Amino acid sequence: MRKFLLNIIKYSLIALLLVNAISFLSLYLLSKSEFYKPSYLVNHFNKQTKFDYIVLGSSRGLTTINTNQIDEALGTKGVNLSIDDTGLPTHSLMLTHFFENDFKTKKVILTLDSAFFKNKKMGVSDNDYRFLPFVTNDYVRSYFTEYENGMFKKYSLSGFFPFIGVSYYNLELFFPSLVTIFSPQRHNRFDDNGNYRYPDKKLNSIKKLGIENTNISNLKLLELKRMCTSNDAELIIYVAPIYNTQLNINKSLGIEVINHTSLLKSTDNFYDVIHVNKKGREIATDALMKYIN
Amino acid sequence: MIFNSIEFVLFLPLVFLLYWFVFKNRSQQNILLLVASYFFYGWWDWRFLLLILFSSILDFVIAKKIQSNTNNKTRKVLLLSSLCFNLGVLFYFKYCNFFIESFTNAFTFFGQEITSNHIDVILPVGISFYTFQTLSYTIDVYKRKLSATKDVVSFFAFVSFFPQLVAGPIERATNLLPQFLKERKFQRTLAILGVKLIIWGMFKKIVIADNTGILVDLVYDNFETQNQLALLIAAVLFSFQIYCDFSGYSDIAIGVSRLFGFNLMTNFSFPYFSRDIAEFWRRWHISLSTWFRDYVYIPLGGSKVFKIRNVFIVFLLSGFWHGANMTFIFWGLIHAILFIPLFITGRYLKNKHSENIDKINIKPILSTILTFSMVTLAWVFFRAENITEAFLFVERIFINDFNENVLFSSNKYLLILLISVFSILTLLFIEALFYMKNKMEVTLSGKWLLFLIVMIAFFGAFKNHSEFIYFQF
Repeated sequence: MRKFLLNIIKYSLIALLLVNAISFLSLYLLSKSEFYKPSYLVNHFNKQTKFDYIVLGSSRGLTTINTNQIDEALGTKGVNLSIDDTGLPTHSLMLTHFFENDFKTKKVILTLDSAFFKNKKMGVSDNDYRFLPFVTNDYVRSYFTEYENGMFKKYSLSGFFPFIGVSYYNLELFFPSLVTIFSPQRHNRFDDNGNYRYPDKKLNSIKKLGIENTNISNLKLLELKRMCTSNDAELIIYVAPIYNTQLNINKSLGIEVINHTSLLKSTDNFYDVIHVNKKGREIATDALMKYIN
Repeated sequence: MIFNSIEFVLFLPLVFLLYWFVFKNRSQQNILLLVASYFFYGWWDWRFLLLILFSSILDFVIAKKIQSNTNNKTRKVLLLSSLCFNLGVLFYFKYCNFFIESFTNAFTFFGQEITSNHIDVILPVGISFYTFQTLSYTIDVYKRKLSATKDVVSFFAFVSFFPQLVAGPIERATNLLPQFLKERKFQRTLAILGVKLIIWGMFKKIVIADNTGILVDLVYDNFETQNQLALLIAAVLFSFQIYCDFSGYSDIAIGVSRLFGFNLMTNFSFPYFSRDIAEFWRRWHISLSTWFRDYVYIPLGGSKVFKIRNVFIVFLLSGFWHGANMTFIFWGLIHAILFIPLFITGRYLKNKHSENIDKINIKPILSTILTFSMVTLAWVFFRAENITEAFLFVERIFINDFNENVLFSSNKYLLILLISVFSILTLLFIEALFYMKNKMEVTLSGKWLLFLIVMIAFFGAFKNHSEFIYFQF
């Protein structure tokens, strides 16, 4: 029995060491690449780069605001750091990541989804694995500790055993890390300035105009505002167009809000109800420019 | 609780340590196994523990009465009451709605519209497995092949033994029960073989079954618009999904049992290397096919009277055992149709021994490919939602004007396809090595095991993992 248990322990340790070494290497390769937004930010731009504005948000921020269009028109320097399928906690993490890596910006355009207007229990998002290459950084680790729920905390545990995160997200982390060996500058579905747009499809459904009065009262936003202020940046909340929806925002914790929910009326401008298509993106970006200038 | 879960990773070492270090004598160990097994099953839904408990009490009592009774008529009545209860419970939970629906459809077909109400029941996990296991006990006691046990804890632990409770192998009382009744000493060699099988089973389940399952679902859910290549790939992948899912579970079950000093029967022995359907059935779900042979085929007269009818019944029952759906019955029918010609011509034992394999002869390879193709075709019926869909699926493999191939529609699916192909080739390579050596199971060296662990860690479908397919049976 003793020999059996010793053998099990020995082989388990060897296996654990091996898979952790491979996972560590995998995360290292990703951290040195430009595949996902967090590593793209630190590897594509020189440290202490001063941006005129940055865009944070989920898929609505990613696909609505075209920084190329803004920069061409205004001669500014901006970057879109939005990540699809994420929420306010991830946007906050991205902002922390931005400032922690010594970048500067004058304006932070936070594309806020209505789901985060009010205080609510928030957790990690589906695509937070993109921060795992930086899991050894304190701010990333504490983010996972604060927001990860459930019995099995795969993100938090990845700080000690990287194989947990890399195995769970093998398609998203392990295999892309192999790609970055040959192509470290490759981006995962975004261009050189972090932008992405949906295929040029037109929305089919017709729905009745919905009007809603609401407030923005999520206290997490005040934390973001404080972070911006201490880094000499201005926080602006941007609410992207939604098909046939008009949100009247009455209060917003004293933060400037650009409310473009009802900017676009026609189905010609939408890919689906909450995402614009190429045409809608051009109009929405154009409308946003005056706030950046 | 499922084998590929965090809970089981904590549960197994705990029970193992308690079993060998705290509960040192046989009866204490049996109590521990019983409690652990009930905990394991109750983790899914504790209410259905009552079913196992009641079934165990009934068969324990009935078997004792059969043993002590000399009157043949009374013995028969007792056996029938056990059969009625066990099969009645199985029928109620698994087949009742199917018969109500079939009955309603039959009336509608003949022009009579009748309304029927479905029974709203959950199918208890593993009911078909443990029902057949308890039946084997009562029948064997009735046939005087086995003495009824007086040890209630051992019997209850035999019925609910957690490694094989929910998806087999369906153990015979003659093999497993005596193991509960004797002292067990830790056997290092057996335990090492067990660990090796667990890793091999995990590889099959987590890497092959769960990855192929993603692609199979994708194609089957949209099969009306998929091109021939997509349908063909999905059909082949499903053959490997179901094999690796089910045999993976069996391997883990056998491996876990060995850690506790138990030897379960081999359930799968390289079925996709079979050179004809008869050989396939000697290698696929052996515990079920031998159960039907011993408790259905032989009592019906075996090969002495109405042998073709008997074979037919066994295959149809085998299909029906899987579930209350015409697709399963049709699957059994296809196998019967493929098997009977071999049976009539007496060629069904031709490929009984794998010593006959000529390593470089092309003929056995072609026979293997042909057999695999037939088995794959039958799996289409097994996997489809209904018979019409299955026929349409098969038809579209041959005649199809659609251009869509969802498997090639994104990098993600292409990557999963590559992982699946690579891991299936790894499986076939390893199995071929052991099949050629005429072994019954795979026993890998330390280096191979490390390789498999790395494959499990980085190729496994942890995020999109699915339950074991055979849990639903």
